[in-house]
Amino acid sequence: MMNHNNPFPHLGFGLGLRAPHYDAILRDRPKNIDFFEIISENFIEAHEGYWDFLTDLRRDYAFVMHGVSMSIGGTDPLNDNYFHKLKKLADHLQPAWVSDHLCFTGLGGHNTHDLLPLPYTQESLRHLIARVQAAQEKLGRTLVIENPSTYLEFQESDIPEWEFLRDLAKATGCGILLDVNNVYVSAFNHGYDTKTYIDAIPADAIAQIHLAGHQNNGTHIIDTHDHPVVDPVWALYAYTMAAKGLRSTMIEWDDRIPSFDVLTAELDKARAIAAPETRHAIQRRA
Amino acid sequence: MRFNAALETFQHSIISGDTAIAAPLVREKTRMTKEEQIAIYSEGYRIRLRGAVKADYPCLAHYLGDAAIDVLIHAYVEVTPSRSYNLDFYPFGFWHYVQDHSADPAARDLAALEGAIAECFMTQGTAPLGADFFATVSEDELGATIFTLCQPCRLLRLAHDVETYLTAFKRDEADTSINETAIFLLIHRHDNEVRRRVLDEAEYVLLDKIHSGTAFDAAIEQTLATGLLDEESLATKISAWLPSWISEGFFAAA
Repeated sequence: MMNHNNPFPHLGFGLGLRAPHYDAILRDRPKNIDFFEIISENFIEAHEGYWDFLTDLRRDYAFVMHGVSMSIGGTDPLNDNYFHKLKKLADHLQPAWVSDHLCFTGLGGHNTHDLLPLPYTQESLRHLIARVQAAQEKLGRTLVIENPSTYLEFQESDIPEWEFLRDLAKATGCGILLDVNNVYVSAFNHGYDTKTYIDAIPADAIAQIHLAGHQNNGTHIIDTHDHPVVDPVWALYAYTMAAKGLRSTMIEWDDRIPSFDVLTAELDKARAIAAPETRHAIQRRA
Repeated sequence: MRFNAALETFQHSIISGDTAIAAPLVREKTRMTKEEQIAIYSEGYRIRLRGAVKADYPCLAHYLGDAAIDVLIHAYVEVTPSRSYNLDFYPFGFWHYVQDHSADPAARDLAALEGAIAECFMTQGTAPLGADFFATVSEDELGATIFTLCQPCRLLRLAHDVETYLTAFKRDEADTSINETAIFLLIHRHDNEVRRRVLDEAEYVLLDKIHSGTAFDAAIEQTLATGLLDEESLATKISAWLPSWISEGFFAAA
């Protein structure tokens, strides 16, 4: 079912901009990539050569900025230095949106460089609502929040993650970056139903879809971003597209990064799965 | 437990590696114990930090061997929590740790070199003074000018020829020995590329004086005072060095 009130532009099908492919992308300017997602932290403090590189590519591609260190769920004050630099890069690149994760990354000035899970309670929801609103004010733009892969749940959590994310989006106006692989990973790890999760996410809040590979260890799944997307995740993506409508979709592959052809083949799979929704969108525009 | 206390306890459990600390906070699963669930984060934390350090010190890893460098890196990670939101900055402190914890002086010098390269690769720079600036200043003005070296850069005075070793390593030709020979290096970034310039000792001294805020003529006087070169030799050398210093953007306004 298409949702026609989604405020986020459909960018098409994109890839993460990763160092092993910088030269080839600059040289070939591939036409089969609609947008690139950059990891914000890789560039906000990088030297001018990287900014020149991004500026150059930005002329030919839409960008989205994806962060891993905002620690929006943390209890340290929001890091003004970080936000200043993030905003500076966003103002320069004018990405379609800036995203980060529903998590905390460290406390007391420490950084674990991981997306640590949060207790999902009314107290933490109030905390997150205030933090997202403050972050949006600092950035001067709508923030997009991604559901993380998690490997444990807090005893005191009494709100399902999908309801927590839904209520956060409703209260703050933030967008949702729906990582379909993360839904699959967390559902496996915690024993909940993937479609219940997808169904609960409001279509008009979904800015973007992430797809990625993972590592299944039998007892648990780790979100490793180092394998192709598995068939059950493709199936869940198809379900999501049918239920929520066409959304900007991006393949994440961050470790043991394969050739560019392998990445674009994954993207072509996503295009094929989303083709019915793409046709609907074209018909609507016509 | 209140929200903040729960997060603090969980983080403490991860960083300390004591998974029992946060176990009471965690929901039981049929397939994994609470401690096993926390260990996913605790081990992931260590793997991530260790990997970041090792990636920046490939030549030191080659020289010491995987087992020896892993001992150093593991110990470094246990006593050094990351304080930056950028993981790329975490390895910068490792070379200092090696100075205090490696008994091998050549390893200490090699760590200093690779640490300098990593810092110069990542950190933001200052704008160099171009050839047009130097074309417009008189000799007297130049002599009275206080410059600083354009950032990022690092001047290194080392007791082992780790530069030759690193060059051989990059060609897959490095063996396990490093010659004990004093070397002087400037590590800097130019045209988005980290460069290593092997310096004469007098060139090192002169650049070091300039970098520490000494006016150009005074820096020359202080270099002469070391007795490394006589006045004529130093003047000849400077006339050869200066064009390359300028073309490679060594100087910034103080």
